[in-house]
Amino acid sequence: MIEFTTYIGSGVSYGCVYALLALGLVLAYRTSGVFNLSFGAIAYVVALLYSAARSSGWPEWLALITWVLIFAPAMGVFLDLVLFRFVRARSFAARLISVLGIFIAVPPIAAYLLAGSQNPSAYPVVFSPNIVYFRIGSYPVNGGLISTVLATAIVLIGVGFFINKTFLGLKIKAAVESPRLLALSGSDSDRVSAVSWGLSTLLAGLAGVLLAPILHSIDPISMTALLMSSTAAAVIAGLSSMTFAVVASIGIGIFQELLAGYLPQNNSFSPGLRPSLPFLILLIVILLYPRFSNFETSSDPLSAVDPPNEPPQHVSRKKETNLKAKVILSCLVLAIFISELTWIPQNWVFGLTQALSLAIIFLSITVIYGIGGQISLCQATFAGIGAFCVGQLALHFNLPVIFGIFLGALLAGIIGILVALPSIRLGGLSLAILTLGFALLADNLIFPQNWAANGATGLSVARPELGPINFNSQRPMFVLVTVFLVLSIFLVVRIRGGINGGFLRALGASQRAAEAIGINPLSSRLVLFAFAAFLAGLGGGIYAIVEQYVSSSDFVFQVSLVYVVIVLALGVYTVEGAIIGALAFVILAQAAPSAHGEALGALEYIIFGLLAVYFAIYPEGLVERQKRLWAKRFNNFKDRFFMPPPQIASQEEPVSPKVLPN
Amino acid sequence: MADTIKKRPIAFVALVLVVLGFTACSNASPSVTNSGNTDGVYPNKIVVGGVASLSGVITTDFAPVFQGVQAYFNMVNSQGGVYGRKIDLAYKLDDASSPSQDIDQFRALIEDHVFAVVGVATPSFAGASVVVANGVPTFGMDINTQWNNAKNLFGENGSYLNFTAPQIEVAYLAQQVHATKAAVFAYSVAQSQEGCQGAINGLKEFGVQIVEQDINIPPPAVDLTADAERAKANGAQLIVSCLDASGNLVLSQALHQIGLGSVTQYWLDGYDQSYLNNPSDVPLMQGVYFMLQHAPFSVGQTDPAHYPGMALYLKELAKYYPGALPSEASLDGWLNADLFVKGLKLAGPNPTREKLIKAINSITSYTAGGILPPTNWTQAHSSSGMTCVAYVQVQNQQFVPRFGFDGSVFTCFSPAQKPNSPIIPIGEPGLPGLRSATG
Repeated sequence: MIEFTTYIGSGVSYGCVYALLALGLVLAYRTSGVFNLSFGAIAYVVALLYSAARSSGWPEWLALITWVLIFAPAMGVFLDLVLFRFVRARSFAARLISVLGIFIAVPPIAAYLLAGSQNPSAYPVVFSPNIVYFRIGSYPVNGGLISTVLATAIVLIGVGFFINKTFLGLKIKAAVESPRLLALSGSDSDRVSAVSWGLSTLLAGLAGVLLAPILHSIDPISMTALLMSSTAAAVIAGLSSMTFAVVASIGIGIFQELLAGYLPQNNSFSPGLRPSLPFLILLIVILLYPRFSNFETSSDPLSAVDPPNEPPQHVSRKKETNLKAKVILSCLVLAIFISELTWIPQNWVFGLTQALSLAIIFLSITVIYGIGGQISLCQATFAGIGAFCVGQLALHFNLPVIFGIFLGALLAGIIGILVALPSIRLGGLSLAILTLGFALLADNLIFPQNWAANGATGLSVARPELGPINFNSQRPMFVLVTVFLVLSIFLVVRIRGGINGGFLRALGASQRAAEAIGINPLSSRLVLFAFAAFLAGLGGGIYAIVEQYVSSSDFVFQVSLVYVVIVLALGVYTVEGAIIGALAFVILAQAAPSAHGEALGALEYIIFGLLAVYFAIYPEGLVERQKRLWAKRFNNFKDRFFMPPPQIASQEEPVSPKVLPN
Repeated sequence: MADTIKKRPIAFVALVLVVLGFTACSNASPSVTNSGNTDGVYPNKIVVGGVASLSGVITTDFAPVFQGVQAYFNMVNSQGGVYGRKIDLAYKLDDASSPSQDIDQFRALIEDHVFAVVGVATPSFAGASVVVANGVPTFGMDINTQWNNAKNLFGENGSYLNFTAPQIEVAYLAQQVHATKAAVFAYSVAQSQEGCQGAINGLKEFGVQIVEQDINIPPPAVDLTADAERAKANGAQLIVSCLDASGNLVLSQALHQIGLGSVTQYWLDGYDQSYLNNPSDVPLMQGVYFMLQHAPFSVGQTDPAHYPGMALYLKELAKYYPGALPSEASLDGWLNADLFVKGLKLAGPNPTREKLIKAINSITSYTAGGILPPTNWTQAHSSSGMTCVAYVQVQNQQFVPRFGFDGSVFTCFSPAQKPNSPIIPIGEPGLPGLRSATG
């Protein structure tokens, strides 16, 4: 039996790492109003640069000043200049998507630019994790723990003092609450915003260089895994109390280590319980204490002076433009459909079929955000539920896969209701975080089970056979998936135009007014969320039979984040946004390696990550905006070359003198 | 009907799905085609491709596999190719560590008409089903059971794995260091746990007691002091770790800091000179054992006469990739390319996929110039044959060969070795470096 102090010591060690990252999340939220999921990506980049500099023989102080004290805050100021200041006054979704874009795009860019300069073992800063400085009981306190404890304390006291007790700190908080009020007081809110982002990225950089020698590695996956665990602590602290975030982080760390010491090993859930503990705690806290997750209690007191938001452009576009777009699109779709059935090579047919199955999953995001105005970060998880249900039912009960797809979608819908119930009334960031927590829980606890994704091996899924039609051939499969996609589109359009769609539009315009006329926001949003989960499950099941093989790595939480970014960037208010997003994703994924060699295999992630910026500026998305721009260009072209001579010219002709009757 | 669709759209769609479900009474069997026997063979070149996990959730560095393949092909091409044909590694695809993307990439290679797939390095070789169904000769790192039992799949030293089979080689290490109690550590992910299962079974079979077993460590490891303390408290004399290299360093750091630094450690991952080039890692790796399926890199310099293949690999890697350190991934790529070219030469001037597969499967003793213990390809698809490994131990910033048999760096074990009895290594005809063979 080992000493209790060892478990506590190890737990504090984990807890301080979580605390450092949780402080970054809380600080970013308090100073910029952004739930900064890109914190880990920035930490990775700075750690990589620091390590590369040390490998090249730079002295420690020079590397520290250059990359942590100068580069990291400069990166924050740069990001603020080109992105964040444009989304500061926008919806939480715009802010969230902009950081997701960085989360997705920055690590592969950094890995590409700094390929080969990464040292597998990083360089310690001041205190070495390899040296034991003193002992508490039997627990050896090494430089890694001292670094994280000191950094946590400095950030907690120093940054806490700066935010709460200095005039600039007050301005930063004011800029988050009401940039308008700050501007009225004569302060430059842009400068304040730049300072807050500089501070946030400075902290991320510091966390990166401190954690790398503790982890003995520099990779974005480890950094992100730790950041996700620290999310639970930040949420428990209501994204506001830095002290509470530190206490919660250390509590989670200690609880995890105690589980390691006392949890019976011989059951199927034990492997997943320790890594998923933070997310379990996160879900339990939100379930039992929803007030913890009500992050958006403060609002800009001057927001009422703004004119109401413009309706999305697809709603306001001209009927004539709509009709033309529909005719052109229908002709295009028909041409592609006929080509797919006749002359296009089998591999392209397969690629397009893949894209159409993904489009069904993407449509679920169109439903959640485009209709309901909510962000869900676990749509790939629902897709996974559908996919694994199809595979397992076929494997164990020999159930026809088409029927399995239907059951899988139903199961996803039911789980969707269970997930949404605790926080659907809060919506916004609360729902986004809850769904992220569910995705992480599924990744760690549910999908690794043999009865789900069959461990790391994955599941083979057969294609269906309908009488004489064997769907192993690509063209019949394409037709089948097209049928499912058309049915899904039909449902989405019906729901958008139906009663529930109307309710949700009313709720989006004014929740209080909608409630006053008898609309129940809870049931309307719940129905929509369940439908979106159903649709994602349906898409997942179809994706499984198209691919004929699925595994847990196909539906990890990062996939959900990428899907959300793609659909929002391409066009979340329209069906074609989802479809074109899926097509672009598949085409880029296929083209990237052959076009750029092994170093830039994640090209599609870089492109879509950068496209997230587009959503931040143009919320209607790339497809809708381009459609309008091209319609305008077409009209200008038509007016210039094909219109009859302008009538106004005849009016300018000299008026012939009227002959007055004598 | 139109009215129903308008009024109850969800009911209508549900009805369509149910009807489809009931009429689809069966699931189709996977289709098998065996066309394209000479795909990728041109008068002046042969086109091949490779697939590796270059990105994604698995952090192991598989990318250098293509360096090994390319270096070997460059060498062959500079000598005029095979029967006048140059070998063109035209595709280096990334499966992003995802089984379904793995399948997609293998489909893409077949659709692009490659003759063979040379250089496969992925933790999830789901694409095996595709290349087996199409009869495409495929060469790669044999780290998954998907390589088993298919005549056209060629791992670097055989194509048969059984993760649960007792690993006698781990038990032999315990015997050599006089350890009777062991502690085993792995991450809470299946790949890591599977890696340790055979070691656990092997130790138990030869009477080594597992006194501590934590195979649920959440990655990444931050502090493993509690695990180290439990191993110490239970008297572990051997630490078996199936963590990744960075996790192993965290574990070793904890062991050193609780005063268990002198305990024997065996790491599954970490045989990489770049770690020993980092001064802060050296003390943590001092004395650590690794077991290799191939000869250590060092013998290419210390004993090129017995291990000429290794000397050639080091020379050509340095020539075509200056500055690149030798690694297991690039060595496996080199071995894959070597076996492919050897088979191509045996298949004759008019190669087909079938001829190539048949030619390789008739080789009875393949060592790639002393890099590998002999592989009998007439049996290597369905049994692992005799177990032979090379032990190395970290001593003064170097991986030093240990144990071995009669001058060879390899130590082999009889399949007939009885459990719970002293393990006696044996020799094998053709084993590289045997003193008795050289006389």
